[in-house]
Amino acid sequence: MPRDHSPSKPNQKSASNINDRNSAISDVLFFSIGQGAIVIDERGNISRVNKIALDILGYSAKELIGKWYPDILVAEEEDGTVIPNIERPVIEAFLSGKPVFRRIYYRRKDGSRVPLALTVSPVILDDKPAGTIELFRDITEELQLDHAKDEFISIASHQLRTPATVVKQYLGMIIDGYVDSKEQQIEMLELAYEHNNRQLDIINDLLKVAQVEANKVKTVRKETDLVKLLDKVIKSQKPEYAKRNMNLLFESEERSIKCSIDPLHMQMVFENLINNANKYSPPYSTVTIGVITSSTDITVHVKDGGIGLAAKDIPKLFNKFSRIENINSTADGTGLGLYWAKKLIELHKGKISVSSRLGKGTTFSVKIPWEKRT
Amino acid sequence: MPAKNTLYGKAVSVTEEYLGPAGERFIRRQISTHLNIKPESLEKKNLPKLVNWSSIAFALLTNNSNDVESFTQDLESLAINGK
Repeated sequence: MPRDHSPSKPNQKSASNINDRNSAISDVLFFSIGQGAIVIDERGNISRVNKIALDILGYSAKELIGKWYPDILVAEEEDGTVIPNIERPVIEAFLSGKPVFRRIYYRRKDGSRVPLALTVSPVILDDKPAGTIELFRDITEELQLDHAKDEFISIASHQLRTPATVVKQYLGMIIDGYVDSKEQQIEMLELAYEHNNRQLDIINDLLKVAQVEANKVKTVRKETDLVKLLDKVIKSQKPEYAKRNMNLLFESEERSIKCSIDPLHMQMVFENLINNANKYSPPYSTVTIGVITSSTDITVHVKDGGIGLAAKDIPKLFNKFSRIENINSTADGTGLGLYWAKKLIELHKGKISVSSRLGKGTTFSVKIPWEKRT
Repeated sequence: MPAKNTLYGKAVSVTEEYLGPAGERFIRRQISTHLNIKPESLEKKNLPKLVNWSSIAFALLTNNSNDVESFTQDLESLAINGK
């Protein structure tokens, strides 16, 4: 093939190469943006969209490209009000000439709403406006965390306020001279002391929850005989069961089950479950602890003959501060025990599940991985 | 309300034909933000830049390309017919 020696061609080729390269770099940069990105051209039509935006919105590129953006991207306020075009961030960015940051909701293709932290900037090429670019990220999880944090603070304050009020009232009565006899004073001091202990229990539970959520709780696994450990927990709980004339039975297929667990953590888990079974069962009923092994795992069941749970309440059980309403208003507890137990079991790569029927009782099952030794 | 015989007043009239009462605020912000001048001191030499910004902002508000075209032409024509 003859070579082209004309003087202008190499320059043109070189300019074309530079343009191609710049265009390729621009493409790579656009598609590497770690957020949803949508470019809207000078006619208000969507001209580019990256994969993250498609994943968030549930559309294909074909469904978005070339469409006039408000026709397909419905923007809403938190309360579901549709934002009129003139008030949309893209217009604000254009009118102000500056990036606009805002939280809005877009409707996905399936009609569901997604909360977004959105930044819209005007695109200016050669000193002329050429459209806008919207960058956004899905903030569903952030909003859920915010909500959970608010709820946590609200419930924790409420839980702490009740015993704190009781302590204040009893001490106030003594200080103000409402109680004359020494016996009555001691009785009130004991009640104040008891409620102060309850405050400390709540604070300790809160600290445990904070630690587990900050991944600061580490398991120290030791070769442990699970049967012995359960036996120890059951013995320690029997006096409380005896107070309510309840039976606590232990059934194990094997006399000894050696496994690698954190004995302190697992002891807390079983204490919590067996203690709950006592609190939520009627007097004279029986609670049975059973252990079943397979070649891959150990399952411990804690079965009570109590009042049971409604199906709608079961998913809430392992939430922080979950107290199921109307099942036993006299049962004390911080509502953190099952949450904490679940976290400890998960640190052992195990699972906790529950089956229950109203009026028929509840069974908690703790399954932890295990290798049976022959 | 701007004087109708000024270029700014005419730009407002044109925009109000398309955007109604929101037109004045729309064009006022375009002029002050993108041209960095007081709206009342709008001159013919500022029009090309104003047309660029305003026509795109208008295209973001309406899907009617005929309206966008017509709005753009009406603003451009102020360079000939305007004060």
